[in-house]
Amino acid sequence: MESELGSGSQSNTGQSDHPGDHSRSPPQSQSHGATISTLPREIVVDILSRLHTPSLFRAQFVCRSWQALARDPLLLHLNRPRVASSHDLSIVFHSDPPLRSQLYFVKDVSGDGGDGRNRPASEFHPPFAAVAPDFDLVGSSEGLLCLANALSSHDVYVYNPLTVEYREFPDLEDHQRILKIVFGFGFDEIENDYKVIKIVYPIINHFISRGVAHSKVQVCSLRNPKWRRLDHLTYSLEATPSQPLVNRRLHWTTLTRSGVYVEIVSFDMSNEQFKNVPTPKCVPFLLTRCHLVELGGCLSAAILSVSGALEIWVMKEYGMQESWIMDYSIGSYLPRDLHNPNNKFNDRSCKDSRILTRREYQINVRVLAMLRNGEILLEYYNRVLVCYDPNHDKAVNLMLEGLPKWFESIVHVSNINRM
Amino acid sequence: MSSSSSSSLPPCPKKMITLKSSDGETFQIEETAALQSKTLENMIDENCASTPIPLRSINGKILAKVVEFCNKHAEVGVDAESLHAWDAEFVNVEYTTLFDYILAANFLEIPTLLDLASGVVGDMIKGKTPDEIRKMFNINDAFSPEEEEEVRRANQWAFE
Repeated sequence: MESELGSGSQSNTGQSDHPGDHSRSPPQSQSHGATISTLPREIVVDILSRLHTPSLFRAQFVCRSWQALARDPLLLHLNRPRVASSHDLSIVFHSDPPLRSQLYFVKDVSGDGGDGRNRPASEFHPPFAAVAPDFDLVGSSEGLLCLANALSSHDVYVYNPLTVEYREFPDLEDHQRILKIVFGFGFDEIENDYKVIKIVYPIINHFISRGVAHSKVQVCSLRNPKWRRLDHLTYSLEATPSQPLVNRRLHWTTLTRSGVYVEIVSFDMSNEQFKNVPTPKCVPFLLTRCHLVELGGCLSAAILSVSGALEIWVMKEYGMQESWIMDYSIGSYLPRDLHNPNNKFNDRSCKDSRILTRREYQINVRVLAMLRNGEILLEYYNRVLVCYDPNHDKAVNLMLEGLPKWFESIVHVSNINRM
Repeated sequence: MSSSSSSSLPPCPKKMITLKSSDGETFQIEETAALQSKTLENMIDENCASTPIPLRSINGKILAKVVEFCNKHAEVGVDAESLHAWDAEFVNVEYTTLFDYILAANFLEIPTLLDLASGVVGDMIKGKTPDEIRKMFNINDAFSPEEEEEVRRANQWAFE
């Protein structure tokens, strides 16, 4: 019907063994000759870049030429925004029973509503677990996890759970008595490099001179893997699992000098300077009740209000104090299966858990991410994940099988980035 | 073709250009439809489209389909849903033909067709094991089973 110009030669799928004249035409012209290897490299790269990460990862084992393509910078370049826009988030869970840390992951928690939510959690073991059986979770960025040895050495590992490649950044400093170590980890797309920031607070000095903390700040990156010293930082930062990366800056909360209100401190990935970020003007920004998260590309602060509601403030325009807006307010909600949440400290095995006791100002709810359908993913009491639907003001427990008793969780978007 | 009874005729109605396939078939296509191809657009702009344009890398069977595609996508008043269904039917072909579409769309620079056909190939690959992909596309340049097993063992995340 549509093809009055098309000379009617439809013949559905036929492979037309002999396309008429068999001389004088370049090899590609004959349809029986078209194989995937006749396609130009850019096109195969484009096709592969449409794949979700697990498929893309598998594709490199199809043949040698695809293996080469899977390392093609063009592919990673095309794939990154496609992966990011698909919002296929995985969650990595970290638990720390005595002496041995555990990692679990759950694939694709992206919100498709209702029934698809009953998912198994699988344990995975980093290849360096024999050397560093007990570690802390620093963060996840662009497919890589960052972990820090929890034993005396404080070595840092950057690790792609998909390709099982990792790099070790040994701690060469001779530290005295350490009060705490705060890390930061993120990918900088301009420099195409992953950076680790490590801030060591010695036990002396800290909080002695009117709350001014003294610290050793070091930075290293995958491309420049030697620790370099930066100027010391006078802020006392909060150690968090994952540090939101917005506007090419990593973010932490801190105590102000007065010791009550929060400040937000950022680290610029390119000039490596720390800087203050304005907080919402009208909110009493109490440290005990606040943490940072990236939502929809904006720096956001989740604040537990006096009434018990969780308010999520979003800085719509980076760096503009007036642009902070309260986008969500989640009423006080106690997930099923958590009848007595404070019981978590009674179990003997978690008595020494760093996760449960590390943060002096622990809050009970953490905002993890926003899902594709606009739902917000929350972690309650280090034990339950909850999907909150802001449009219907409804919260649903995420049914995950095989998780440890307690955990800290972070979102992770896997990709095949090479180190 | 939609009967152009509507009032908004283009200033220069129904200008046709002629394409010639590698095997000597000729096809007429309206200039407005041909403009979806950047390659043809350039030739039209440079006034090189008055004589039949030889396309030596595209045979008649494929060129017919490409012309059909361009015509369909130049039609006015087709709603997105039915065009989508039409597209889906259009690419419901053997993979060798899909590759031919891709090569033709690449040569003629027709992004819609290139994107459509590449997307289908991508969907075919999705969720398949390396072995299934090799069978599907008849790929021979494979790893040895030992090599593949090695990687499979080292990895629990992607293969489970």
